Amino acid sequence: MSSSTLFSNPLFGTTVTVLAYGAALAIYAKVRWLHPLLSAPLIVYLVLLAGSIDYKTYNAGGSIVSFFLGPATVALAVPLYKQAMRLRPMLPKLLMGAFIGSVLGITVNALCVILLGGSKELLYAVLPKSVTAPVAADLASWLGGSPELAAALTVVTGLFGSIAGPPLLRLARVHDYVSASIAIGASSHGIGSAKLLADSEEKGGISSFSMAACAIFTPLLLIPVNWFIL
Amino acid sequence: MKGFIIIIGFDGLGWLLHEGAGVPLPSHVLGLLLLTLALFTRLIKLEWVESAATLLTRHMMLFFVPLLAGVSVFIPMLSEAWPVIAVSIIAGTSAVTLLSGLVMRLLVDRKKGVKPAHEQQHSVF
Repeated sequence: MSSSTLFSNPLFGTTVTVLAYGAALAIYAKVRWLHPLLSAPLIVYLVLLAGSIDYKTYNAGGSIVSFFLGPATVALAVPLYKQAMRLRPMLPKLLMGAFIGSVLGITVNALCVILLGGSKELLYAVLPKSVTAPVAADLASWLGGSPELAAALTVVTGLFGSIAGPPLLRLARVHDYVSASIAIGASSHGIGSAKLLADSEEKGGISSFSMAACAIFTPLLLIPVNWFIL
Repeated sequence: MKGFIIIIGFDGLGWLLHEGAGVPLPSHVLGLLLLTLALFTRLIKLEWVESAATLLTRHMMLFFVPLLAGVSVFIPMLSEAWPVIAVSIIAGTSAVTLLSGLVMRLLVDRKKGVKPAHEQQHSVF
């Protein structure tokens, strides 16, 4: 069996992906600044480089793993529902906050690319980057952009926001944790929420709610944007 | 297993609405919308889908790895567009965080108590 048929067997791609993920989690347990979302794809990339295997060949198996992004996106309904039930007394304010966060996310992201003269391809990937990555990837390909690029930009946005967001909010005197958690969820989606969750369950819960609500508001807001503007 | 069947069913329903009926939203997002509606209207009970959904959202990072590894294809484009990308990530993300926080602070004038969490669910996305 030649090496190319060996690598194009879907089992190669799925195995490399799962092993890289496992290794990335093990590294993260020791090296806290190296997020698994950076190290795992890097490991896959290095394996492909070392074996001079092209991405398409690898993706025969890789796409089997990516398939689960779809059901995982749908599954976000569950944390949204659970948090909504738990936060019921303040739900109207939280929904309003997440809605405003969605509007701001789309507007600011669009302005960044348009004012600086970025390409259409870049615009489609940047536009949904404040929303949770599976939804951002789905939205980017719907708009006509690249889901890979959108996913990467979204992850970097989340990493940056999870680190810079809390001190920025303190600097702006947003001291109440409800406002801060909603803001982090709207701008830095799940990566920001995970960071807040390490702080307290309360903050993490509100932030996850904000992330999930934005995952619904942003696509709805993008319908007219897509029709009339893009 | 029931949970997975329901979730994949909703994903498929979203795909059908998108591809078949031409609803102008991405198919997985439609699935998410429909499942959210079904949960709030109690058409689908939380217990049916809870464990499957937790499993899926907890391992969301794994499902992303192939997509992120594929960014290597965009290296030529990224080397050209990096200033725009850097601004949109640094300034853009800061602006969205700050503005949302400030607007939210205006809304939360009277804080109301929230019930303590019995169980938390989170994903890294």
